[in-house]
Parts: sequence; structure tokens; C-alpha cells
Amino acid sequence: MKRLRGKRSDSQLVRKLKARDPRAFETLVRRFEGPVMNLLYRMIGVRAEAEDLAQEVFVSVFKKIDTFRQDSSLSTWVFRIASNHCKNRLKYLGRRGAGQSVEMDEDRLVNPGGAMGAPGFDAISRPDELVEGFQMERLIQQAIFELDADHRLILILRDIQNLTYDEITGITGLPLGTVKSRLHRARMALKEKMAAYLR
Amino acid sequence: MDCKQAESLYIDYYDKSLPEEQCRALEAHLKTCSACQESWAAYQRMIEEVSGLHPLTPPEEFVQSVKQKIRRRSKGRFFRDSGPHSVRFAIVSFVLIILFILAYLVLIATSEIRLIQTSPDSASDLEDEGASGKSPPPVPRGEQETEAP
Repeated sequence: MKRLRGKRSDSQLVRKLKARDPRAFETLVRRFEGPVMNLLYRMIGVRAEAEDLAQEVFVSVFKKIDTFRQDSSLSTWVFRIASNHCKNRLKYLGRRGAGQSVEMDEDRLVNPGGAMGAPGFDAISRPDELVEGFQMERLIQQAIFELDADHRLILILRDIQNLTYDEITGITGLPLGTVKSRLHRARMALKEKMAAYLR
Repeated sequence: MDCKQAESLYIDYYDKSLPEEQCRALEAHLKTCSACQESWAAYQRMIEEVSGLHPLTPPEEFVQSVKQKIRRRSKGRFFRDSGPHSVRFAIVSFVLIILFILAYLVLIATSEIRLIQTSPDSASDLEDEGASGKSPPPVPRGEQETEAP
């Protein structure tokens, strides 16, 4: 994730957001759409669901911006809203019996380059390797998805979003010890699940 | 140090935040325990694989979708449509209409001026016809009435 913090630019942006400046809102969405959508996608496992939920997150950010007192960074606050939305959606999907397995972004096979910076088909000498890589991603995503939701969230924040422990405690409201013990359990469980592929 | 204890230190060892004494103890254990060597290698590889997952790219129209959602829910209070009903469109339309009317008036005026400029020949013809007596000059109304019986 791109780390775009800078307290001054954050407070300027927040001031404009509180004044309901449409351009400031656009800046905010552009800054966080990627990290938020990735968090939600890794948590939920279905792209369409993650996109829909990401929209809800930004609607909430827009609605609640007046309550943001800047005692944490803007990114921590946005991630906190996203993780709360995520928990609620997972509960809802759990009640509906949905979300037992992950769905991969199939477009990646059709357009492996896209905006991800990977080479296009012309540059791929071994399509079998591409499929292999795609399957590996699918396996990892499935293994992550099988983790307990609380552990999964910490693992994603730390190992995929590359956030610091301070940021993670700010987002989850958990003490550092709990964050670390959940991360440790998540990693050990994931290592077990992926054992066959890590040799 | 046993394998279970060694495993519990992986997280801080990976972050390079393990106190020196524990660090030495763990490294000493790893040197002698092949199971833990394998386990530690798998631990690192797993984190690398997870960190290397391709990020999902949000769709181009994502910002617009969020704005639309807010506009719908706020019943148009926020992010008003920038389409044909906007103030900007109304101003542009008004200016265009005014320009069109002005252009029309200028066109009419120039065509009238052209008519006047081309008319002197026909006007002199009429004057000539009147002078040669081909058609009688108009009689004033008062004179016609006095001649009647």
C-alpha cells in the first residue's frame, strides 16, 4: 500500500471534506480505494461483494467525517470503518450461508497485465507458469479465507497491507499483545494449510 | 529451548525486534534442529507469498459509483448531476441563445442595408416615369370632390 500520510495534508483534506468539497472527496476515494478494496476482497473473497462494500465504506466516510476528531491518522480511521463494515457483512453472509469459498479475479487470466504492472501475454513465454501462478494465488487466497475472521483481519493488515503494529492497534482497538498473538496464530495456521506448496 | 518455544519467537525474530539474548538462543536452536530449520524457512516463504499477492485494481468508474450512491441517498443534496440540469448548462444555453438572436438581428440588418444600397436605380426609374406623363400624377382627394356635380 502506498503510504500517503503527512499530517498537514491530511488535516487540510479533512477540513475540505468537512466543508463537503466534492474534489476533496474524490481525492480521498482515489487515495484509499485500492487499499480498502483489497482489504475487503481478501476478507470476503468475492470481488463484486468487495466492490459493493467498498462503496458503502466511502459513503460512511462521507457521512461520518464530522465525527472524525483526528486523534488517529485519516488512513487508520478509514480502515477502522472498512473493518467494521467487513465484520458486519461477514456476519450477514454467514447467516445467509454464503461465502464458503473464494472467487478469484478471473479477468487476470484474460488480461494478466492490467493495472497491476505484470507483463502482457506478448511478454509471457510460459503461459503454463502464468496459470500456475494464478492457481497459487487462488490457493493462498482460499487458505487465508479459511482462517478465523479475527485472525484473518490481522494477517491481511500486517502482511498484505504492510501496516505497522501501531496502525493495526488503532484500527482494531486491540492491545498490542493480542494483535501479535493473533498474527502469530494466523501465520502458523496458514503455514500448515500451505505446507504442501511451501517446500 | 524446545521447538514450541522457538516457534513462539518467530514473529519477533521476523520483525528483527527480538531481544539479543533470545535471538542468540533461537539461532542456536535453529542450528541444531532440522525440523525448526524447515519450519522457519516455510514461515518466511509463506509471508513472502502472502505479501506478493497481486492487488486488486478498483474499476475506473468507482469514484462515480460512490458519488451516485451518495447523491441518491441524499436525494440530490450532494454531488448534483453535472448533466443538462446543472446551472452551468443553463448559463451556457442562455448565452448561446442570446448570441443566436444577435446574429439573426445582424443578418436582418445587413440584408436591409443591402436592399437600400441596391434601390437607387429603381427609384430613379419611377421618378422618370412620373415626369414623362405615362401615368397621371395622383390627384388630391379635395380636388376630386369639388369637381363632382
